[in-house]
Amino acid sequence: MIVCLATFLSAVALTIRVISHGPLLVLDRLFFVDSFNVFLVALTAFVGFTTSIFSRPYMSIEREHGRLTPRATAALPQHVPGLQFHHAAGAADQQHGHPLVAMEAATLATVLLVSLYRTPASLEAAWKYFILCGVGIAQALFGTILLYFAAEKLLGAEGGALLWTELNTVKGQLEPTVLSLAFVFLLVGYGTKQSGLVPLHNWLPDAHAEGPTPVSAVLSGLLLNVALYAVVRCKVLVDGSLQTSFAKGLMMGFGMLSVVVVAAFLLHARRTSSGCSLIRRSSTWASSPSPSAWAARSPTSRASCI
Amino acid sequence: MACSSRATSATYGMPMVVELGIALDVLVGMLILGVFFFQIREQFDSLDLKHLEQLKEEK
Repeated sequence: MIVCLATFLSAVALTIRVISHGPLLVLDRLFFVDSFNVFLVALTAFVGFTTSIFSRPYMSIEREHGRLTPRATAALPQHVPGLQFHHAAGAADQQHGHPLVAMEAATLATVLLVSLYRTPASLEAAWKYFILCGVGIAQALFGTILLYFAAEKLLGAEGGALLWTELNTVKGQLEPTVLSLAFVFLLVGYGTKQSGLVPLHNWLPDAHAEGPTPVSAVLSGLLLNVALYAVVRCKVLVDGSLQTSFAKGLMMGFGMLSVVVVAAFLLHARRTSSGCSLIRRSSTWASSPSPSAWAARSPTSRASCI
Repeated sequence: MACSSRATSATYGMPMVVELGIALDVLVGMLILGVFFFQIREQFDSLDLKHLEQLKEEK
């Protein structure tokens, strides 16, 4: 908890600094913070901090009910600072490969937390989460490789061809065909993670309903944002290269579809199930349209402000 | 020498930090998969995935 508090305070300091002094480049161009991603860093730190406060009493109640062993109880508070670190790093990195690595690490860290109760249902949810996100991250990796392939011709192998600031300066000359392919792979890959996007949302309600509540908070508060952030960053490059509304259309289409499908599922769940499971399942169904609504909206508003 | 090490793929390999990060992720992923198998076997006394097909939206 102290680690989380320290992270939160430093994130606040960072936010103030970026707002007053403008974008920041540190550690040999490895990290890049501007007004777009600083709010993600701050949010990540805030959610991590509140979760760490909340998880302690939550875990002691669960232990009293006999649903958890003391060893399992100790695991969660220890994990939260690590998660927070991964997500903050993913949000601040300007290398296109880094959010990928950070998100995969964060997924791996949360998988065993989802199956913390060791019930058949929670094991199944964690299994689904692990497999689907593994597939998703592999596709995002291929998208990143394609992006690097296009950028490397212009910037050279040593020129930092995955650095976002470098890519942004040459985005008009990037190969349009390769970049549109890369964007599709990145959208599908991160979309699995970001999970609002409909054909790939399957793991989400299970992982949220069967895992402990603090884990659910971390999943929807942190993972989804970072995934969508990576997509939006890539979209800026694709737009610069293609000069069409290809990426905008894709994001809007998937976003709208997700909102519609999720609304249908929500109505369906209200009719069929009851009690606690209904609340948790429907709240997760409700959490998934928010990133997708953001996805539908962002091409017009968000990306234009970058 | 630079040529021979570079000629391995179309993209000449990703930046070293990304390569190492992905390698670490795959390694830890495999480890967790192993832990998972132990948990599943503990729970169901088998590794048959038909036990893991119960969670669906109720009809």
